[in-house]
Amino acid sequence: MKAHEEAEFRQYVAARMDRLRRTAFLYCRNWHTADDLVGTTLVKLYEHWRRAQQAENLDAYVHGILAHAWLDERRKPWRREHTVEDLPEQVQPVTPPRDGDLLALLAELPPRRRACLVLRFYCDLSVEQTAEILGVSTGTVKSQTARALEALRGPAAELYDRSNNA
Amino acid sequence: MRDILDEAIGAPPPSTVDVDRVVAAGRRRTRLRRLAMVSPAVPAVAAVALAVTALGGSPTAPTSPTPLQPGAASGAAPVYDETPEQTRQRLAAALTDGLSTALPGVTLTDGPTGQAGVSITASDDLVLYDSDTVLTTGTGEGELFFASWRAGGQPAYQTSTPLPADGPLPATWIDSCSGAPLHDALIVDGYRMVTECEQSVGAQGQTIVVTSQTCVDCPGQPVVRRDAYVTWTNARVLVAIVNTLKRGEPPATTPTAELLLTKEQLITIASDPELTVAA
Repeated sequence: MKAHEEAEFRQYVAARMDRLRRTAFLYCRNWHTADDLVGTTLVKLYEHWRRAQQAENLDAYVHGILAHAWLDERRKPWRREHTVEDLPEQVQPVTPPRDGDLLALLAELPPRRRACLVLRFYCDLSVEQTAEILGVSTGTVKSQTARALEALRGPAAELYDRSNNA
Repeated sequence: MRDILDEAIGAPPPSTVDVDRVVAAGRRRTRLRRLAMVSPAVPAVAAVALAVTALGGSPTAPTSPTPLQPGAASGAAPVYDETPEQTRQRLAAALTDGLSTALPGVTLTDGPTGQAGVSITASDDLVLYDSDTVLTTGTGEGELFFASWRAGGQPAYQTSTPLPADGPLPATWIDSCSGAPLHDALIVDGYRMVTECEQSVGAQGQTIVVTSQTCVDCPGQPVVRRDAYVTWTNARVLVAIVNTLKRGEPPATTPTAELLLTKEQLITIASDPELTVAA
Protein backbone atom coordinates (compact mmCIF):
# COMPACT_ATOMS: atom_id res chain seq x y z
CA MET A 1 0.00 0.00 0.00
CA LYS A 2 1.34 3.38 -0.93
CA ALA A 3 1.77 6.17 1.62
CA HIS A 4 -1.20 8.22 0.47
CA GLU A 5 -3.39 5.12 0.49
CA GLU A 6 -2.34 4.31 4.02
CA ALA A 7 -3.12 7.86 5.04
CA GLU A 8 -6.60 7.49 3.54
CA PHE A 9 -7.02 4.19 5.35
CA ARG A 10 -6.08 5.74 8.68
CA GLN A 11 -8.40 8.66 8.05
CA TYR A 12 -11.28 6.34 7.29
CA VAL A 13 -10.59 4.22 10.36
CA ALA A 14 -10.45 7.26 12.63
CA ALA A 15 -13.77 8.49 11.31
CA ARG A 16 -15.53 5.13 11.64
CA MET A 17 -13.91 3.63 14.74
CA ASP A 18 -16.68 4.53 17.18
CA ARG A 19 -19.43 3.26 14.89
CA LEU A 20 -17.58 0.03 14.18
CA ARG A 21 -16.94 -0.65 17.87
CA ARG A 22 -20.57 -0.04 18.72
CA THR A 23 -21.72 -2.28 15.89
CA ALA A 24 -19.37 -5.04 17.02
CA PHE A 25 -20.63 -4.64 20.58
CA LEU A 26 -24.19 -5.15 19.39
CA TYR A 27 -23.11 -8.44 17.89
CA CYS A 28 -21.16 -9.84 20.83
CA ARG A 29 -22.13 -7.70 23.85
CA ASN A 30 -18.59 -7.67 25.16
CA TRP A 31 -16.20 -4.79 24.61
CA HIS A 32 -13.04 -6.92 24.61
CA THR A 33 -14.46 -9.19 21.91
CA ALA A 34 -15.88 -6.18 20.08
CA ASP A 35 -12.45 -4.59 19.88
CA ASP A 36 -10.96 -7.90 18.70
CA LEU A 37 -13.58 -8.08 15.96
CA VAL A 38 -12.91 -4.52 14.90
CA GLY A 39 -9.17 -5.23 14.83
CA THR A 40 -9.72 -8.32 12.67
CA THR A 41 -11.99 -6.35 10.38
CA LEU A 42 -9.51 -3.53 9.96
CA VAL A 43 -6.62 -5.85 9.18
CA LYS A 44 -8.72 -7.43 6.41
CA LEU A 45 -9.75 -4.00 5.24
CA TYR A 46 -6.12 -2.89 5.09
CA GLU A 47 -5.22 -5.99 3.12
CA HIS A 48 -7.91 -5.27 0.54
CA TRP A 49 -8.04 -1.48 0.77
CA ARG A 50 -7.77 -0.92 -2.97
CA ARG A 51 -10.58 -3.31 -3.67
CA ALA A 52 -12.63 -1.79 -0.86
CA GLN A 53 -12.31 1.67 -2.33
CA GLN A 54 -13.73 0.37 -5.58
CA ALA A 55 -16.84 -0.80 -3.74
CA GLU A 56 -20.06 1.03 -4.45
CA ASN A 57 -20.58 1.61 -0.74
CA LEU A 58 -17.41 1.41 1.34
CA ASP A 59 -19.25 1.41 4.66
CA ALA A 60 -21.42 -1.50 3.53
CA TYR A 61 -18.29 -3.34 2.43
CA VAL A 62 -16.71 -2.85 5.84
CA HIS A 63 -19.85 -3.84 7.71
CA GLY A 64 -19.87 -6.99 5.60
CA ILE A 65 -16.36 -7.85 6.75
CA LEU A 66 -17.31 -7.13 10.36
CA ALA A 67 -20.45 -9.26 10.22
CA HIS A 68 -18.49 -12.17 8.76
CA ALA A 69 -15.72 -11.71 11.30
CA TRP A 70 -18.28 -12.10 14.06
CA LEU A 71 -20.10 -15.03 12.45
CA ASP A 72 -16.75 -16.76 11.88
CA GLU A 73 -15.52 -15.96 15.37
CA ARG A 74 -18.48 -17.53 17.08
CA ARG A 75 -18.01 -20.74 15.08
CA LYS A 76 -14.49 -21.24 16.38
CA PRO A 77 -14.30 -24.05 18.92
CA TRP A 78 -11.84 -22.13 21.06
CA ARG A 79 -13.92 -18.99 21.23
CA ARG A 80 -14.97 -19.69 24.79
CA GLU A 81 -11.45 -19.45 26.08
CA HIS A 82 -8.42 -17.49 25.03
CA THR A 83 -5.08 -16.47 26.41
CA VAL A 84 -4.20 -12.91 27.32
CA GLU A 85 -0.86 -11.29 27.97
CA ASP A 86 -2.00 -9.68 31.20
CA LEU A 87 -4.81 -10.66 33.48
CA PRO A 88 -7.42 -7.90 33.64
CA GLU A 89 -7.94 -6.36 37.06
CA GLN A 90 -11.67 -6.81 36.76
CA VAL A 91 -13.65 -9.36 34.81
CA GLN A 92 -16.76 -8.06 33.10
CA PRO A 93 -19.71 -10.04 34.42
CA VAL A 94 -22.22 -11.34 31.91
CA THR A 95 -25.49 -9.57 32.60
CA PRO A 96 -28.47 -11.92 32.75
CA PRO A 97 -31.38 -10.94 30.50
CA ARG A 98 -34.25 -9.10 32.14
CA ASP A 99 -37.38 -7.39 30.94
CA GLY A 100 -36.62 -4.10 29.30
CA ASP A 101 -32.94 -4.94 28.67
CA LEU A 102 -32.71 -4.38 24.95
CA LEU A 103 -29.15 -5.59 24.56
CA ALA A 104 -29.80 -8.77 26.49
CA LEU A 105 -32.78 -9.55 24.29
CA LEU A 106 -30.74 -8.72 21.21
CA ALA A 107 -28.09 -11.17 22.39
CA GLU A 108 -30.72 -13.88 22.68
CA LEU A 109 -31.63 -13.59 19.01
CA PRO A 110 -30.19 -16.24 16.68
CA PRO A 111 -26.94 -14.90 15.15
CA ARG A 112 -28.15 -14.28 11.62
CA ARG A 113 -31.37 -12.68 12.83
CA ARG A 114 -29.30 -10.44 15.07
CA ALA A 115 -27.04 -9.62 12.14
CA CYS A 116 -30.04 -8.76 9.98
CA LEU A 117 -31.34 -6.33 12.55
CA VAL A 118 -27.99 -4.69 13.21
CA LEU A 119 -27.16 -4.31 9.53
CA ARG A 120 -30.59 -2.99 8.62
CA PHE A 121 -31.33 -0.65 11.49
CA TYR A 122 -28.00 0.23 13.06
CA CYS A 123 -25.80 0.28 9.97
CA ASP A 124 -28.60 1.67 7.79
CA LEU A 125 -28.07 -0.86 5.03
CA SER A 126 -30.79 -1.75 2.57
CA VAL A 127 -32.52 -5.10 2.41
CA GLU A 128 -30.56 -5.88 -0.75
CA GLN A 129 -27.20 -4.95 0.80
CA THR A 130 -27.97 -7.00 3.90
CA ALA A 131 -29.00 -9.96 1.78
CA GLU A 132 -25.78 -9.76 -0.22
CA ILE A 133 -23.61 -9.58 2.89
CA LEU A 134 -25.32 -12.53 4.55
CA GLY A 135 -25.65 -14.54 1.36
CA VAL A 136 -29.41 -14.95 1.68
CA SER A 137 -32.45 -13.79 -0.27
CA THR A 138 -34.12 -10.44 0.32
CA GLY A 139 -37.19 -12.33 1.48
CA THR A 140 -35.15 -14.04 4.17
CA VAL A 141 -33.78 -10.71 5.34
CA LYS A 142 -37.30 -9.29 5.58
CA SER A 143 -38.66 -12.23 7.52
CA GLN A 144 -35.65 -12.44 9.85
CA THR A 145 -35.81 -8.72 10.50
CA ALA A 146 -39.53 -8.84 11.21
CA ARG A 147 -39.06 -11.61 13.75
CA ALA A 148 -36.16 -9.78 15.38
CA LEU A 149 -38.21 -6.60 15.67
CA GLU A 150 -41.11 -8.54 17.11
CA ALA A 151 -38.84 -9.87 19.86
CA LEU A 152 -37.52 -6.42 20.65
CA ARG A 153 -40.70 -4.45 20.28
CA GLY A 154 -41.54 -4.22 24.00
CA PRO A 155 -38.13 -3.14 25.32
CA ALA A 156 -37.55 -0.81 22.40
CA ALA A 157 -40.86 0.94 23.02
CA GLU A 158 -40.04 1.21 26.70
CA LEU A 159 -36.67 2.81 25.96
CA TYR A 160 -38.24 5.10 23.40
CA ASP A 161 -40.85 6.29 25.94
CA ARG A 162 -38.19 6.74 28.58
CA SER A 163 -36.00 8.85 26.30
CA ASN A 164 -38.97 10.99 25.28
CA ASN A 165 -40.02 11.58 28.90
CA ALA A 166 -36.54 12.43 30.11
CA MET B 1 -33.80 2.64 16.02
CA ARG B 2 -30.13 3.57 15.90
CA ASP B 3 -30.65 6.15 18.63
CA ILE B 4 -32.41 3.61 20.80
CA LEU B 5 -29.60 1.13 20.36
CA ASP B 6 -26.97 3.80 20.98
CA GLU B 7 -28.72 4.70 24.20
CA ALA B 8 -28.81 1.07 25.23
CA ILE B 9 -25.10 0.69 24.49
CA GLY B 10 -24.21 3.76 26.51
CA ALA B 11 -20.73 5.25 26.60
CA PRO B 12 -18.13 2.78 25.33
CA PRO B 13 -14.92 2.20 27.29
CA PRO B 14 -11.65 3.47 25.76
CA SER B 15 -10.77 1.62 22.60
CA THR B 16 -8.11 -1.07 22.73
CA VAL B 17 -7.86 -1.15 18.93
CA ASP B 18 -4.35 -0.02 18.04
CA VAL B 19 -4.38 1.29 14.48
CA ASP B 20 -0.58 1.10 14.23
CA ARG B 21 -0.75 -2.59 15.09
CA VAL B 22 -3.56 -3.03 12.59
CA VAL B 23 -1.45 -1.45 9.87
CA ALA B 24 1.57 -3.57 10.81
CA ALA B 25 -0.53 -6.73 10.76
CA GLY B 26 -2.09 -5.70 7.46
CA ARG B 27 1.33 -5.21 5.89
CA ARG B 28 2.51 -8.55 7.19
CA ARG B 29 -0.57 -10.39 5.93
CA THR B 30 -0.28 -8.76 2.52
CA ARG B 31 3.32 -9.90 2.21
CA LEU B 32 2.64 -13.39 3.48
CA ARG B 33 -0.35 -13.77 1.21
CA ARG B 34 1.62 -12.83 -1.87
CA LEU B 35 4.61 -14.93 -0.96
CA ALA B 36 2.55 -17.90 0.13
CA MET B 37 0.64 -17.73 -3.11
CA VAL B 38 3.61 -17.96 -5.36
CA SER B 39 5.87 -20.19 -3.34
CA PRO B 40 4.18 -22.47 -0.83
CA ALA B 41 7.19 -24.60 -0.14
CA VAL B 42 9.79 -22.02 0.74
CA PRO B 43 10.20 -18.78 2.60
CA ALA B 44 10.53 -15.48 0.81
CA VAL B 45 13.59 -16.30 -1.22
CA ALA B 46 12.99 -19.09 -3.71
CA ALA B 47 15.39 -20.91 -5.92
CA VAL B 48 14.04 -19.19 -8.98
CA ALA B 49 12.81 -15.67 -8.67
CA LEU B 50 11.64 -13.44 -11.44
CA ALA B 51 9.95 -10.16 -11.01
CA VAL B 52 6.92 -9.09 -12.87
CA THR B 53 7.69 -6.35 -15.30
CA ALA B 54 5.14 -4.13 -16.88
CA LEU B 55 5.22 -3.89 -20.59
CA GLY B 56 4.33 -0.80 -22.54
CA GLY B 57 1.06 -0.16 -24.30
CA SER B 58 -2.12 1.55 -23.37
CA PRO B 59 -4.49 -0.51 -21.20
CA THR B 60 -7.44 1.75 -21.86
CA ALA B 61 -8.37 1.13 -25.46
CA PRO B 62 -12.09 1.72 -25.88
CA THR B 63 -13.00 -1.11 -28.21
CA SER B 64 -14.57 -4.43 -27.36
CA PRO B 65 -12.42 -7.10 -25.72
CA THR B 66 -11.54 -9.31 -28.65
CA PRO B 67 -8.16 -10.92 -29.11
CA LEU B 68 -5.94 -9.09 -31.57
CA GLN B 69 -3.52 -11.98 -31.87
CA PRO B 70 -4.96 -15.41 -31.23
CA GLY B 71 -2.67 -17.56 -29.15
CA ALA B 72 -0.69 -20.00 -31.24
CA ALA B 73 1.46 -22.97 -30.37
CA SER B 74 4.32 -20.53 -29.98
CA GLY B 75 3.43 -20.08 -26.33
CA ALA B 76 2.15 -16.54 -26.77
CA ALA B 77 -1.08 -15.59 -25.06
CA PRO B 78 -3.69 -13.65 -27.02
CA VAL B 79 -3.64 -9.88 -26.67
CA TYR B 80 -6.99 -8.25 -25.96
CA ASP B 81 -7.82 -4.70 -26.89
CA GLU B 82 -9.86 -3.79 -23.84
CA THR B 83 -10.18 -1.48 -20.88
CA PRO B 84 -9.01 -2.55 -17.39
CA GLU B 85 -12.64 -2.96 -16.36
CA GLN B 86 -13.25 -5.20 -19.35
CA THR B 87 -10.15 -7.18 -18.38
CA ARG B 88 -11.50 -7.68 -14.86
CA GLN B 89 -14.83 -8.82 -16.22
CA ARG B 90 -13.26 -11.16 -18.75
CA LEU B 91 -11.04 -12.77 -16.12
CA ALA B 92 -13.92 -13.15 -13.67
CA ALA B 93 -16.11 -14.72 -16.34
CA ALA B 94 -13.38 -17.09 -17.52
CA LEU B 95 -12.52 -18.18 -13.99
CA THR B 96 -16.19 -18.66 -13.15
CA ASP B 97 -16.69 -20.73 -16.30
CA GLY B 98 -13.65 -22.86 -15.60
CA LEU B 99 -14.65 -23.57 -12.03
CA SER B 100 -18.30 -24.21 -12.87
CA THR B 101 -17.28 -26.67 -15.58
CA ALA B 102 -14.91 -28.51 -13.27
CA LEU B 103 -17.27 -28.45 -10.30
CA PRO B 104 -20.91 -28.32 -11.47
CA GLY B 105 -23.06 -26.63 -8.86
CA VAL B 106 -20.13 -25.05 -7.04
CA THR B 107 -20.85 -21.90 -5.04
CA LEU B 108 -18.27 -19.17 -5.52
CA THR B 109 -17.74 -16.52 -2.86
CA ASP B 110 -15.21 -13.73 -2.66
CA GLY B 111 -12.93 -14.64 0.25
CA PRO B 112 -12.25 -11.21 1.73
CA THR B 113 -15.81 -9.95 1.64
CA GLY B 114 -18.02 -13.01 1.60
CA GLN B 115 -19.92 -11.61 -1.36
CA ALA B 116 -21.17 -13.92 -4.08
CA GLY B 117 -19.12 -14.59 -7.19
CA VAL B 118 -15.56 -14.10 -8.33
CA SER B 119 -14.12 -10.64 -7.73
CA ILE B 120 -10.98 -9.63 -9.59
CA THR B 121 -8.79 -6.82 -8.26
CA ALA B 122 -6.26 -4.96 -10.37
CA SER B 123 -3.07 -3.42 -9.07
CA ASP B 124 -2.64 0.30 -9.56
CA ASP B 125 -0.18 -0.19 -12.40
CA LEU B 126 -2.44 -2.82 -14.02
CA VAL B 127 0.36 -5.36 -13.98
CA LEU B 128 -1.40 -7.81 -11.70
CA TYR B 129 -5.01 -8.98 -11.59
CA ASP B 130 -5.88 -11.33 -8.77
CA SER B 131 -8.67 -12.87 -6.77
CA ASP B 132 -9.27 -14.96 -3.68
CA THR B 133 -12.34 -17.16 -4.03
CA VAL B 134 -13.95 -19.63 -1.65
CA LEU B 135 -15.36 -22.71 -3.36
CA THR B 136 -18.18 -24.58 -1.68
CA THR B 137 -19.56 -27.87 -2.95
CA GLY B 138 -21.64 -30.62 -1.43
CA THR B 139 -18.45 -32.38 -0.39
CA GLY B 140 -16.38 -29.61 1.05
CA GLU B 141 -14.85 -26.20 0.90
CA GLY B 142 -11.62 -24.87 -0.57
CA GLU B 143 -9.96 -21.59 -1.40
CA LEU B 144 -8.68 -20.68 -4.82
CA PHE B 145 -6.08 -18.00 -5.45
CA PHE B 146 -5.77 -16.64 -8.93
CA ALA B 147 -3.20 -14.21 -10.23
CA SER B 148 -2.58 -13.07 -13.78
CA TRP B 149 0.41 -10.95 -14.61
CA ARG B 150 1.13 -8.84 -17.60
CA ALA B 151 4.61 -10.25 -17.85
CA GLY B 152 7.80 -9.21 -19.53
CA GLY B 153 10.93 -11.22 -20.01
CA GLN B 154 13.26 -9.20 -17.91
CA PRO B 155 13.82 -10.39 -14.37
CA ALA B 156 14.06 -7.29 -12.23
CA TYR B 157 14.43 -9.11 -8.94
CA GLN B 158 17.10 -11.59 -7.89
CA THR B 159 17.16 -13.90 -4.91
CA SER B 160 20.01 -12.01 -3.32
CA THR B 161 18.07 -8.75 -3.28
CA PRO B 162 16.83 -7.89 0.24
CA LEU B 163 13.10 -7.69 0.63
CA PRO B 164 11.88 -4.12 0.64
CA ALA B 165 10.61 -2.77 3.93
CA ASP B 166 7.47 -1.51 2.27
CA GLY B 167 5.74 -1.26 -1.05
CA PRO B 168 4.96 -4.07 -3.45
CA LEU B 169 6.92 -7.24 -3.00
CA PRO B 170 8.64 -9.02 -5.82
CA ALA B 171 6.95 -12.20 -6.91
CA THR B 172 8.76 -15.48 -7.04
CA TRP B 173 8.01 -17.63 -10.01
CA ILE B 174 8.62 -21.24 -10.91
CA ASP B 175 8.88 -21.92 -14.62
CA SER B 176 10.53 -25.32 -14.39
CA CYS B 177 10.69 -28.15 -11.89
CA SER B 178 14.45 -27.81 -11.77
CA GLY B 179 13.85 -24.44 -10.15
CA ALA B 180 11.28 -25.71 -7.67
CA PRO B 181 12.53 -26.07 -4.09
CA LEU B 182 11.52 -29.67 -3.51
CA HIS B 183 14.03 -30.70 -0.91
CA ASP B 184 13.37 -28.08 1.71
CA ALA B 185 11.89 -29.29 4.97
CA LEU B 186 8.53 -27.65 5.39
CA ILE B 187 6.36 -27.55 8.46
CA VAL B 188 2.91 -25.98 8.16
CA ASP B 189 0.82 -25.64 11.31
CA GLY B 190 2.96 -28.34 12.89
CA TYR B 191 2.52 -30.84 10.05
CA ARG B 192 5.30 -32.03 7.78
CA MET B 193 4.69 -31.29 4.13
CA VAL B 194 6.28 -32.82 1.04
CA THR B 195 6.21 -30.98 -2.28
CA GLU B 196 6.18 -32.70 -5.66
CA CYS B 197 6.53 -31.04 -9.04
CA GLU B 198 5.43 -31.92 -12.57
CA GLN B 199 6.15 -30.01 -15.74
CA SER B 200 4.42 -30.11 -19.11
CA VAL B 201 3.73 -28.05 -22.21
CA GLY B 202 0.21 -26.89 -23.00
CA ALA B 203 -1.63 -27.00 -26.31
CA GLN B 204 -0.73 -23.41 -27.06
CA GLY B 205 2.91 -23.94 -26.21
CA GLN B 206 2.71 -22.49 -22.72
CA THR B 207 4.86 -24.04 -19.98
CA ILE B 208 2.90 -25.57 -17.12
CA VAL B 209 4.50 -26.37 -13.77
CA VAL B 210 2.39 -27.91 -11.04
CA THR B 211 3.55 -28.24 -7.45
CA SER B 212 1.56 -30.40 -5.04
CA GLN B 213 1.96 -30.26 -1.30
CA THR B 214 1.17 -33.44 0.61
CA CYS B 215 0.67 -33.52 4.37
CA VAL B 216 2.58 -36.63 5.44
CA ASP B 217 1.50 -36.31 9.06
CA CYS B 218 -2.20 -36.13 8.26
CA PRO B 219 -4.57 -39.11 8.16
CA GLY B 220 -4.64 -40.44 4.62
CA GLN B 221 -1.76 -38.14 3.63
CA PRO B 222 -3.90 -35.80 1.52
CA VAL B 223 -2.65 -33.20 -0.92
CA VAL B 224 -3.52 -29.98 0.87
CA ARG B 225 -2.34 -27.46 -1.67
CA ARG B 226 -1.66 -27.43 -5.38
CA ASP B 227 -0.28 -24.57 -7.49
CA ALA B 228 -0.25 -24.35 -11.28
CA TYR B 229 2.29 -21.91 -12.75
CA VAL B 230 1.57 -21.25 -16.42
CA THR B 231 4.27 -19.32 -18.24
CA TRP B 232 3.43 -17.75 -21.57
CA THR B 233 5.96 -15.76 -23.53
CA ASN B 234 4.01 -12.62 -22.76
CA ALA B 235 1.99 -13.43 -19.64
CA ARG B 236 1.98 -15.45 -16.44
CA VAL B 237 -0.93 -17.10 -14.68
CA LEU B 238 -0.97 -18.75 -11.29
CA VAL B 239 -3.90 -20.71 -9.93
CA ALA B 240 -3.62 -22.28 -6.48
CA ILE B 241 -6.17 -24.43 -4.70
CA VAL B 242 -5.92 -24.82 -0.94
CA ASN B 243 -7.85 -26.86 1.55
CA THR B 244 -10.05 -24.92 3.89
CA LEU B 245 -10.54 -26.42 7.29
CA LYS B 246 -14.16 -27.01 8.14
CA ARG B 247 -14.95 -24.32 10.63
CA GLY B 248 -16.42 -25.11 13.99
CA GLU B 249 -16.27 -28.87 13.68
CA PRO B 250 -13.63 -30.19 16.03
CA PRO B 251 -10.98 -31.33 15.51
CA ALA B 252 -10.65 -28.29 13.30
CA THR B 253 -6.89 -28.35 13.01
CA THR B 254 -6.17 -31.53 11.07
CA PRO B 255 -6.50 -31.28 7.31
CA THR B 256 -7.96 -34.54 6.09
CA ALA B 257 -9.98 -33.81 2.99
CA GLU B 258 -8.66 -34.04 -0.54
CA LEU B 259 -8.59 -30.90 -2.65
CA LEU B 260 -11.76 -30.00 -4.50
CA LEU B 261 -9.93 -29.81 -7.84
CA THR B 262 -7.89 -32.62 -9.34
CA LYS B 263 -4.51 -31.87 -10.85
CA GLU B 264 -5.96 -32.18 -14.35
CA GLN B 265 -8.82 -29.83 -13.56
CA LEU B 266 -6.43 -27.27 -12.11
CA ILE B 267 -4.23 -27.44 -15.20
CA THR B 268 -7.23 -27.05 -17.51
CA ILE B 269 -8.35 -23.94 -15.65
CA ALA B 270 -4.92 -22.36 -15.29
CA SER B 271 -3.86 -22.88 -18.88
CA ASP B 272 -6.97 -21.17 -20.32
CA PRO B 273 -5.77 -18.33 -22.58
CA GLU B 274 -8.81 -16.33 -21.44
CA LEU B 275 -7.15 -15.96 -18.04
CA THR B 276 -4.12 -14.15 -19.39
CA VAL B 277 -3.36 -10.45 -19.49
CA ALA B 278 -0.84 -10.26 -22.27
CA ALA B 279 0.86 -7.39 -23.95
